[in-house]
Amino acid sequence: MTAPPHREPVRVIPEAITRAATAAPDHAAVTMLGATLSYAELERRSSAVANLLRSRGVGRGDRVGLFAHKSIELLVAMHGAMKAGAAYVPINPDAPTGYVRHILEDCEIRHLVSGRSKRNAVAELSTQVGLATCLGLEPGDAPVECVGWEEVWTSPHHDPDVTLTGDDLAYIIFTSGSTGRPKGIIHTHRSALAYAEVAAATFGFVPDDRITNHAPLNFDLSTLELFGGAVAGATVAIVPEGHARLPASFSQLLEDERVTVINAVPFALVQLLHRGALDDRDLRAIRLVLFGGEVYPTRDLRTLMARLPHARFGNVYGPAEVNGCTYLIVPDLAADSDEPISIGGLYPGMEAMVVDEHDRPVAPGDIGELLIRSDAHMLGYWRQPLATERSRLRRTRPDGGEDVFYRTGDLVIEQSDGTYSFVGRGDRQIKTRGHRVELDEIETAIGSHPEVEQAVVYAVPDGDGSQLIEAVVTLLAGGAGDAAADVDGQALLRHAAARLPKYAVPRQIRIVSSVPRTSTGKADRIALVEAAMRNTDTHTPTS
Amino acid sequence: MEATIAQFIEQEFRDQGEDIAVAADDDLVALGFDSIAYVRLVAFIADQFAVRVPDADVTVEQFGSVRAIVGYLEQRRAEDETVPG
Repeated sequence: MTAPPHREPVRVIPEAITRAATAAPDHAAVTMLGATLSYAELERRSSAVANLLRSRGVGRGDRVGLFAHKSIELLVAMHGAMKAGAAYVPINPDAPTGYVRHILEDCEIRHLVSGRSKRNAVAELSTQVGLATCLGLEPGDAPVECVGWEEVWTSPHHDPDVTLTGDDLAYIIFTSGSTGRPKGIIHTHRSALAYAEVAAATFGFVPDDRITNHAPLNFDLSTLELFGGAVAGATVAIVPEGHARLPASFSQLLEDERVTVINAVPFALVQLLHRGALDDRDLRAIRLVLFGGEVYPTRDLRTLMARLPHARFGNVYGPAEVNGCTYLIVPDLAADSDEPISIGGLYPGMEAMVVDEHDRPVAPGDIGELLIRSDAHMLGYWRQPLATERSRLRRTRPDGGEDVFYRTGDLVIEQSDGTYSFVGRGDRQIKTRGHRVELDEIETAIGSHPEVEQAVVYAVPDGDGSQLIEAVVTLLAGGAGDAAADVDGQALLRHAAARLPKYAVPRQIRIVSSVPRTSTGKADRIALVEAAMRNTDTHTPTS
Repeated sequence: MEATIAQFIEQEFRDQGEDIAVAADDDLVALGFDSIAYVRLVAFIADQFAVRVPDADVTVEQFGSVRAIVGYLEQRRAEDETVPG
């Protein structure tokens, strides 16, 4: 990659905005569908948000929820929350209110940023949790203090003058938890910037870059462009939800906004390739296509590379707990092999170990769990010290100090050239269209239905490198009357959909009289997966 | 046509465990209609109304709501009638 001009690192994220606003005040910080916000305006408006939040009592270490579809205002509010000293907590705008409520309660969120498309949900939530203020709604939308954007912009524009260090919280992103409740991953300004700086340098981000924000803010993939873009003074091109879901609109946006860097999950790029009307678009401005979150089917990757011959392609890998840790600039792919590409090698300044089940390093070439030591390592899971400790391996240093590694749970093989091949998971975490899901969380959600005896959830490969979720359920026998007659797969789907984000809801729930068992009496999930692959067409057509 | 499309979309939501009544002007994306559901909707429309739907036509503007889809299909039919063959 081209070396970017040398920059001093910043200590906290708001400094990156201030620096860009000073260096190039009129340069676009954010665009969305033709609307543009300059760095100077981003600086002023995020200060207005920060001052408003400060006047409502928000200070260092507080949490401000972001619960809205994408908009320029949402990104302004994200920066404003951090400028006020708070951590922003992005919440999936399509999640059911029960799921949102858990996050609001877990983080004791009293200040929310939302939008008018969510006003009914906010009104419902405000009767259940102690919300005080909601930005982005108009007065009367919900029974809390609602402050519309025009009103927000009238707040003072001076810097709120909050003393922040790299140790202050920047954001908390919630991910699927195996105990049945989502858990919050806390990043500080230091851990967020450690990744933003190394990624911006590695991929040569410059002010002239226009980088897509395709992933929702509650998906950690978004921090690459949001903070990597900010430290480089580049432009973030927001891809609204509709454009992210309809490939022809996505490709139109790429052309209209003259995007230079795409960052998205492989699923979105596969859709772009097969349904994106690429013949009709001029995409020569694209110099780099980054993807991550799950495996990209090599056949589709090779075809897209041929369609965009002027662009380089980069696979970025890393669990949200360590932001990013390895990357691969994809080499020319042999036409006669669909072998998966590797996840590449470490960014500078990071260390990896590959260990067996007793935490002993394995020989290069052998399968083991990948452990990562990095400045981008999270502070911990929000209010889950035990889970935090379990996620770590501590190693004594020669000086008596201690190194802390994050256990990724990903099984890899270290190749002779120092790169890593992804093999799979050692547990029940899966990726479905880029989303990270714990199958145990889904079992807990379905199992909470009063008539369910046991729910067994398993993932079936979809033939496109992703996975689909299915479930079988046994019902409690001998309930009052013939209770079993009242509940069907549809009722259980509704029960699950009220508790889980959409991507985690099984595509079908079958009620069965008994679940296949292994010789040790456990539910035989392998048999269920094999039966699903035999009996149904699991392949979602992509062309 | 409007009712047929709305019913299909409501069934898609039901298949995902959600009971949502879809009005003609509702923003389908804001309701949570996702990309895979859109793929099935386009296939359904092509089959049901015997119309070819090029990829380039499946945009936010033309597929953002039931009313927009109906408008698009009516325009396609008008075009087909003026172009012989």
